[in-house]
Parts: sequence; structure tokens; C-alpha cells
Amino acid sequence: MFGLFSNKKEAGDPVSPEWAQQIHETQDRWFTFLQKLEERVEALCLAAIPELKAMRSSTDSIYEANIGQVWSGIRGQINQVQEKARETEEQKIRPFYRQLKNAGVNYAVALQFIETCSERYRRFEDSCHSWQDQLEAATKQDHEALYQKILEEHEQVKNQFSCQQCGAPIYLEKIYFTTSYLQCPACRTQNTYEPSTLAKSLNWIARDLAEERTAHLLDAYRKDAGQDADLYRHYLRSMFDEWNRIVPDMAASNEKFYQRQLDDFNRSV
Amino acid sequence: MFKKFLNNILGNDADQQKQQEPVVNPFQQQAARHDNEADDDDNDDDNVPVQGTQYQFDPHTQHGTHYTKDAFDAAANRHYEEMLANQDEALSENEKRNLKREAVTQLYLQWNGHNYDQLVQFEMANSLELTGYATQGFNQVKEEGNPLYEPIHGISLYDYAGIAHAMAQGVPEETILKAIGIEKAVWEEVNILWPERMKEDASFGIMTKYGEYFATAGQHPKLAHLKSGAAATAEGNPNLEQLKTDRYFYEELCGARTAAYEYGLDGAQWILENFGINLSDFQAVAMDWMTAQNQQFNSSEIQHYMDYQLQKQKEYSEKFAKEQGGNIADDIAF
Amino acid sequence: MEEKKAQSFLEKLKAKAQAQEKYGGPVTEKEASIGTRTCPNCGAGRAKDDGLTHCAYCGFEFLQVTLTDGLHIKKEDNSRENQ
Repeated sequence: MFGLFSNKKEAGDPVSPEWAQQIHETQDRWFTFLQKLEERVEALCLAAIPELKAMRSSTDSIYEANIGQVWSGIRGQINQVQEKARETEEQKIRPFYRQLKNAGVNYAVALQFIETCSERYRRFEDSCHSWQDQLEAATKQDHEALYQKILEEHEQVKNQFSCQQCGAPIYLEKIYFTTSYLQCPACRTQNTYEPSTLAKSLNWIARDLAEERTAHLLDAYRKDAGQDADLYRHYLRSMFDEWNRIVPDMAASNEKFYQRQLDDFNRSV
Repeated sequence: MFKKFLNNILGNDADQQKQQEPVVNPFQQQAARHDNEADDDDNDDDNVPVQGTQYQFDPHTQHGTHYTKDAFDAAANRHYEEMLANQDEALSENEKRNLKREAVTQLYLQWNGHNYDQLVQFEMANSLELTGYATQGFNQVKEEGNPLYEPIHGISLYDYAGIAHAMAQGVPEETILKAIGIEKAVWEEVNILWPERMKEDASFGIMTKYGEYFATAGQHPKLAHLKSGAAATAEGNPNLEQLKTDRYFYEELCGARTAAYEYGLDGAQWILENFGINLSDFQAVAMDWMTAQNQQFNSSEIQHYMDYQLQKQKEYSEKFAKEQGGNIADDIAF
Repeated sequence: MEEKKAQSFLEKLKAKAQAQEKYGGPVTEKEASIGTRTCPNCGAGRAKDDGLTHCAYCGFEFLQVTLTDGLHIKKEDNSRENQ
């Protein structure tokens, strides 16, 4: 690899005007091509993001399949654009570079060409990734809002039920997220309480919510370039504490998972 | 809940993936890496048998039958100790485990004639010991006496896979629970607690076993007779039979499903509508192909099928693109 | 021009999603509810004290399993026939 730089061509055999022009043209076409692709992706995403946000907020439903499908279709289009760029790079840029090398064109110039093209390609890829991230953010469920809805619903329904046998009130002392057997305090009859679809989602969002609420602690660990293992341990403990606060019924189970996560981490440092 | 449940089975739910922290199959990468290495191998072990020598392998341990496992383990340990002594810095447990794996790998290749596919198979058969992770199709999981595999409210992991299979087939929940003999309150706890067990299990043994069970879940004695609702029934569907026996057809439908999702369709539904195969049966067949592939590991064959799937995905993409009036950048040319 | 194209593409995508039936059928969201189950065999009510698995009066099997320690359901919820 390093031997290449001692190549006498590096010092610079002059590049013929024909080659110089071809290099210039190919690079130009590559830049224009990628820019057009970027603009197309941008136009699609600029239209899609408010649309996805609107779809998310217009519905009260927790599982909205159409959003997922539309999002998936847009992601698919970006993939298609990326594939097009990849193919073009493989079929036009790389072969031209090989041609330059084979023709013995000044190595530094050839290298400059491929590096400039690669750098532009990386920027294109970055831009696609950034749009994908923004699409994801637009599609994402607002866990805090959903959690608030669950709390509000609980306030509304907790005094609303009565024993199906004797009519005595059955008070919900916590948010149940699975169908549960509740005993009537008056006649001991066992009632079966089935939570709403909304309440059942509590256990699914609890970890996301806990992670979002403690994300700053994970950031602190990462900002430190992962040097201070205790920062990670602190994050992990806080995240699980938060998680347990949201779903206390899962605490016993969560602690086992915590222990596993901690062990995994300790083995890596 | 059902969507979530399907996603669990499909493994395409980001949240669930995060919860289970799935590992990428480390062996496929391994194989690729070795393939590259093989090109510029500077032959530091000239006294080893040449590649292509026919060795016999123990079907269980995948060790060559021309030596004993004890001899191998002893030699591997010596090799590892030497490598460890050459380390400048203190190693984490994971790094030590990787070093040990490297020592075992090097020795295995030396003793068994540089057969990289055979190495992958050996690593899969012994993955629990080498990497700490179980691999599907190698019977590494011992359920007996392991509290992680105790039934939850009387529902074993096999039952759980059976219920999941029936649900994804479209059999109504009520019908399934009645056949199993439990009520909703019991099921909803079971359906939370089995995944919790999986999260607890650092070896991924439960997930591996679950996958193995899922492949045969259609024959669960209490559930096999249930008829699915919306989803087409398994019997008598020639497409399903072909999916089981024709690897190319299987790869084609995998590619088609991916393409369908990329074009904004519900891929599972699309397969059901066009081929009458429900997601549950599809995934069970997928498990069987994966197991077979693991047990008879052949990297060039795997590559061949991957390429085929990709090619089919492309063909279906073109079809879907046509239906929607093209892709957004079709008119942009270099 | 570009914007219009993107918008119409998006509309088509939405229409396509809307038109396709979903695997497993539409998701129906339900309100919370409460109910009781009486023994289909003898008509007796179920008291939690008697255990969840069997009818305290005629022994009818409500649950064909042995309960373990779960979230809310515990080992103690097995009826005596199960223990």
C-alpha cells in the first residue's frame, strides 16, 4: 500500500488534455447525478414528513397499520434511489478509475479523482440516512402522550366497575395491563377484568418510555467516549428504576433482565 | 396486541428486537472473513494436511474422528495460554473468550485440513461453549432441570410456540385457549412471561428452542385440528408443499415479500392473497430451511441462494414499481 | 413540479395502504370490561378463595393447567384438586 507513494508517477507525469477533460466530465456528471437524486429524495421526504405526522396524530388508535405501510413504501423508494447510485458507482465510476490506472495516468490525479467521487458519494449516503432518521422520528409514537392517556383513562375507569354477582363496587387499585381475576370485596365472587386495548399497551411502551426519560444519562456515558464504565452502570440502574416505576408489576422480572444486562456489560470491560 | 405478536414472530419489530438483543449469526461473518484470509494465507503451518483431504467428523461434536476430543481440548488450551501470555494489556472476559475462540479455530483448521465450511459447522455445534450463544439445529439446549424452561402456568415452551403458531395462522384466540384449556387471564400472563424468560437468558437458548418448536408447532396435539379463520389452511395447498421442498421457490417468496413491503404493501397479506400461504406456515418452513442450512453448512451454496433471493426481489420490485407508475428517480440518468 | 410529483406519489401510497386488507384483519380497540363466569356444569359462581382451576362445588375443570407464580396469578390460586 505505502509502496504506491514511492511510485515515480506520483511526482507527476503530466496528464494529457484528453484525459483531463474526461476526468473532469465524469466527476461533473457524478456530482450532478447525485445532486438530482438527493433533490428527489428531499422532495419526497419534505412532502412525506408532515403527512406521516398528520397520520400519526389524526388517529387515536395505538396500532395504525397504514402509517407503517406508507413509511415502508417511502423507505423503499429511498432504498431504490440508493441502489441506483450504488449501481452507477459500480458501473461508471469504478471502471473509469480502473481505466485511468491501466492507462498509466498520473497516479495522484487518478487517486484524487476517486477520492473526490467517493467523498461525494459518502455525502449522498449521509443525506439518505439523515432523511431515513427524520422519517422515523415523524412516524414515531409519542410515548409520553400515550402514557398520559393511559393515566387519564385509569382515573376515569378506576371507580366505574362493580361485581357482576352482587353489584358491590370493585375498585382498580392500579393499572392492570393484562386480563386479571379480581375478587369482589363483598361477596368474594371472582370477576374477570379485561383492560382496554390502550391500558394493555402500557407494558409495551414502558421500556421505551424509561429509555427516553434517562437518555441524557446514556448520552453522558457516550460523550465520555465510553471511558467511564460507572457512567453506564448508573444509566442502566436509573433506566430500570424508571421502568419499574412505570410498571411496578414487572419489577421482579425486570430485575432479572437488569442483572443479565449488567453482567453482559461487565464482561465487556 | 395481535400485530405486536405477529411482529414478534416475524422479528421485524424494532422494539422487540431491542428487547431481545438478537445476535447476528456470528458464523456467517466468520466464514466470509476466513474466505478472504484464505487468499493471502502465508502458509505458516506447512506441516498440516492439504485441503481436500477426506476426514470423518463426529456428527455430534463435529470433531475429526482421527483424534480425541480430550487431546484437542488440551492442545487448544496450551495454544490459548501461549496467546494469552503474549498479550500486553489486561483483557476483559469477552476479549479472553474471543482469544480462546481464536486459539480453538486455528487449531481446528490445522488438525482438520483448512476446511472453512467444516469449521463453521464445528463452531455452530459448539457455539454455547465457544461464544456463549446457542445455535438452532444442534440440540444444545437441555430443558430438563433448567428452571428457565419450567412451564409458566402449565404452558410449556412447546405449547407457547404452538399457540403462537395457531394465532399467526388466524385461528381465533378464543378457540385456541379453549383447546389448550386456559382462560384469557392466564394466557395474557403467559404471553408476557415467556418473552421475559427469553430476555433473562443470555445464551439465547430459549429463543433457539422456541424457533425449533415453532417449526413443528403445526403438529401440536391439542391445536393441530383447529381450522384457521382468514388464513388458508395448510392441507392441500400445493404452494405450501412447494415452499417446503423447493428452496428456489422459498427464496423467491422471501424476495417477493421484502419487495412488497418496500412498495408499501403488507407483505404477509400479499403472500396470503397470492399464494394462499399464511405467515405462520411460512415462518415454520423458514425455520426448517435455516436448520437444514446450519446442519449442512456450505458457504457457496448459501451465497448462491442469497443471490437468487436478491435477484427475485429485484424482479418483484420492478413489477411493483410498474404497478405504482415507476420509482421516484426513474428519469434521472448518469 | 417536483413537489406535485412527490405529493401525488404519496397520495397513491396512502391509497394503496388503505385499500389493502391487513394480515390478521383489522385491529379492533376495546374498552375495559368486567365479567364473571359461572360453572357450566352446576351453575355455581366462582369464588377466588376456592381457587381458580376447579369449581368448588362439582369439581368442573375451569383451567386444565397447574398455575405457577405469575404476575397476579399465584400458585395459591390452584384449587385444592390441583394441589
